[in-house]
Amino acid sequence: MQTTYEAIIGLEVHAQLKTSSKAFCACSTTYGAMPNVNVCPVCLGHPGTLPVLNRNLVEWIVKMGLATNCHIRERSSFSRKNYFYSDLPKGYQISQFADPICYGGSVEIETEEGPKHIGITRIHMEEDSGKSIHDLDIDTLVDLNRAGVPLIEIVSEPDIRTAREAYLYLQHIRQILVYLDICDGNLEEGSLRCDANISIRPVGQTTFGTKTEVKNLNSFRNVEKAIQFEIARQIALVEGGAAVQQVTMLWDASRQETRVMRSKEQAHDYRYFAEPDLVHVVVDESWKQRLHSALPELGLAKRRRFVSQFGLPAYDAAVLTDDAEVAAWYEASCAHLNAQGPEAYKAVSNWIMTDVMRIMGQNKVSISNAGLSPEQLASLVDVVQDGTISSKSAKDVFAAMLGTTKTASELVQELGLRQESDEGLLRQLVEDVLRDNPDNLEKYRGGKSNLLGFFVGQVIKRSGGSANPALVTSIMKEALEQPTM
Amino acid sequence: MIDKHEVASIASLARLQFSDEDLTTFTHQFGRIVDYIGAITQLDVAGVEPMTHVHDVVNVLRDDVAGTSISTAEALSNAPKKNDAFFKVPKVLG
Repeated sequence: MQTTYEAIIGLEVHAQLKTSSKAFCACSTTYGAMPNVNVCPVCLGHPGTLPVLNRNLVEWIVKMGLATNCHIRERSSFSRKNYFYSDLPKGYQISQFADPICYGGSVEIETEEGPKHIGITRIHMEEDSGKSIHDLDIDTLVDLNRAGVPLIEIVSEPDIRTAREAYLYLQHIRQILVYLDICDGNLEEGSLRCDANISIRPVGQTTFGTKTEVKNLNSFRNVEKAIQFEIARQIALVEGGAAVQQVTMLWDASRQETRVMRSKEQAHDYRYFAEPDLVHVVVDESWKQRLHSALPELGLAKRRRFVSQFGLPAYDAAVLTDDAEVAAWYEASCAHLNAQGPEAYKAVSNWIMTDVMRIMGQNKVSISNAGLSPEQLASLVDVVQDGTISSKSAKDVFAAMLGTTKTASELVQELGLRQESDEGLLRQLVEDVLRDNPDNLEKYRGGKSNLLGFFVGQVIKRSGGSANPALVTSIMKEALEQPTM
Repeated sequence: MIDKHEVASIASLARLQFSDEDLTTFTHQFGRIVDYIGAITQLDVAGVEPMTHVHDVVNVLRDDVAGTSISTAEALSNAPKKNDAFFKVPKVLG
């Protein structure tokens, strides 16, 4: 019988926090500055300087810990992780080792097979290294602007089983970071980085196989692809009678493959020891409570509320809550509706998911810069709901609305798009059309019921296009059913 | 006891190279230091929390406000090799 394998995956996610200043000095963290501009003796690692911890680093990591159901360690400390690299000026990275500030948490992801819990082993504070540039000069160039920028490392339990789950977990972690407003969550620009620990074992086996670590997963697509590739590579090795070696691999996006970066023998010996220059951090109950009460509603909770409160399909709720700003904008629109109700809520959702998001994508702007306000969209949904204009004309109103502060009612007047819904007037037009088309009326009554469209079309034509089609149809049907006119 | 192999690996972590003769000398000296410190291991420290600081003070924090940095020229002034904007180091591969 053929062996079936399962993969055991744990992710290490590094999130760069969007503080104004660095972790241990007051240098700015502005991204994209000229090289070696945001530097000072502390982050350059000059002798005799002392680090002083950024309060936001502590508060934000505690928030992340609370949002991922972690325990918050009351007293934690910093350690030095020692290694030589030219973009690490001090020769060590200030990090946390034995007593990370957050530990023992979990998050819930929604997989295609239902909800699943992924454990969080730990979340700790550390500092970023500088940047080495290898391709601009014969020598390697070093820019230390990034050296000392605060990072948090989020380590998951080996609870992930598939590349898809890894992708969903990373999406979820990203969403929490962005909702908490503590990280940009941009994998391509490196404000979020992901490494994966991967091993395989035959289904049913309880012990773990030898794991490899895959680095350089710098996009969501790459995370899924690299893990898939590495699982397949390991299975092929084992099936071929070989053993998986404990190595660190690099994902090569251009070749779509993992390759060995270093073996176990070359593994680093970081010689961690306590950082003597930083005192301990104590987060007491009242500080923790204060941070807890400041937590916003997170994505998953919001998504579930959108389904129950607005009667939205799960898909709509997921799309709208993916970005906290879009979710807030949606709620603001709904609050401005004259006619509250599931139909109108769904209509608002449809406008955002199609036309508004198309503009956001085309112009690469956030929803607040898409060119209209929640009040304006609500006014547009209202005039369609109450029959003032057809949904076809609504597209024109939407287009005219962009970049203005005009409401839908104002634009309907300006563009002359008001639908004719005066029943007496429409009834007169219906009668005129039937009188002028006796041949077709006879055919209809003889069984050609598809002529209804023709009659309705004639009425709309005579109204100059303004007749409310739904109303015309119902009046026309009524008139046609009457035995004599 | 410290052996020569351990001293050699510590040297390699520190990016230092020594002659075999020096390694023998250092192994002997390292051994004496470790033995001297080793006296501490005879103490009963059961139930004693490791102490990493002599001060009781905790939570020395600064507000997250960006201050002034030094100029690029100043930052590079001690660098053995540089250009206008960057530190230069021998080519390292990713």
